[in-house]
Amino acid sequence: MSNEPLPDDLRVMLGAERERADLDAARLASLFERMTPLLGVPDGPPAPEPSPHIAQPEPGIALRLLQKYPVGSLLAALAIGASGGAAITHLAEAPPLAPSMPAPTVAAPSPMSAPALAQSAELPRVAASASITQPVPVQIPTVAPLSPSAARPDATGTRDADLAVERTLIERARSAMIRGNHQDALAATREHAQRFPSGRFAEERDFITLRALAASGDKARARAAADAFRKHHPQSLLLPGVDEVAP
Amino acid sequence: MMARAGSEAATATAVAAEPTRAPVPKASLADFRALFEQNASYVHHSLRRLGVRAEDLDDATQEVFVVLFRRLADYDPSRPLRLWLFGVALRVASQARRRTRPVECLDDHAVADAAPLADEGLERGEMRDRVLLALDALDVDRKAVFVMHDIDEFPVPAIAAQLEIPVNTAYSRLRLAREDFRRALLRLGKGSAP
Repeated sequence: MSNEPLPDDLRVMLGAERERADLDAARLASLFERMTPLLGVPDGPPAPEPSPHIAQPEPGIALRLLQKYPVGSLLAALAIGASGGAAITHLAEAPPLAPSMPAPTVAAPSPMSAPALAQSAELPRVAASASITQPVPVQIPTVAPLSPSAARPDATGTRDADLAVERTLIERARSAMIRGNHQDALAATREHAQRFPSGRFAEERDFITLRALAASGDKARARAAADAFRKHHPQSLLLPGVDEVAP
Repeated sequence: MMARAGSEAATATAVAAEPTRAPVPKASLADFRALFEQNASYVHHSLRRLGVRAEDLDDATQEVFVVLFRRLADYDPSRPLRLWLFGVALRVASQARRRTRPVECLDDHAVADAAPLADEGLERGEMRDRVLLALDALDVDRKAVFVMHDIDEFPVPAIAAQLEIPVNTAYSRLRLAREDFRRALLRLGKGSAP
């Protein structure tokens, strides 16, 4: 049995419903604080952690950056960010550093591509599910909510599908962190870095990566990842969290 | 205030029945908070679409996330989190409806209040209101498939897997739900071509 397309009149109505506005930040915070006692966590809620890329792309940050920097420098920063994100995730691939070794310099904005990183990685895999040496797949994974619109050839449909895949990978990483499964978290962030090196959740991905490294006891690579994060996301609202993980 | 207190007590009772698990590290709570912030609006809207009253939405949303927190180990990360959350929301909405009076929808009073509007004149906000009213008229099982597919745009096979029903059943429910939804809209005065 196949699915008949949704008639246009219903599509318009349901499209309006789909656009329903998100809850505002204050209401979300209130809801979370009221819920925390029900979670059974002895120490109460954690310190609020800014999550600039969680709800949706941040026009506020973009505007702020545009006011502060010329467009040219922002474009350069984007290029650096793409390689930097891959570099931070590359740290998760790197072998443990000897205690006497300095942290690797990962901040240099060399335009390394994922395949280039793959060739330079002679490393044990943190998890076997996503090998960086494999070609980056371009198809939408089955874990993403495939939508009829995702099949449309237009750019909007592609962007929406990509965003859904990005969100799914970050959610996978976060849920793994909550479960204390840091290797799964690293596998998810690595997959994200392969497929979306400069994706809209790149900053969040790099933050999870360094925290997963620290939580798994790999302090050296966590420090290196934190240094790289500071270099490539100098305006990030997550920097206090980075400093807490790797002062 | 009484209703709020009663509802919170119901939420606490419902979540207390969930199996407990070891407390998670504080750092993981930050991740949980991020998941909450990213998905709370989706859950909130889904619950409303599933017929939870506006005044109960906050408590029901919290209930869904408490279940998520306690059962995250059961979550299969190869499947979309929102699909899983919708499954939880479906159960929470069912409990919420049982705790409260039946939803008044599409009765004579509601239809009388919904003045017919020309298609071109219907604002987006009004469309949303009518969609919710029309959804309230649907059978719950059909509505679940309809919302998951035609609003949330999940593929039917994934929906069938989440609801643990045959794929053909899911397609059948979707087709019937669309017919019911169209009829409901017509009763509300939003003329769709027959």
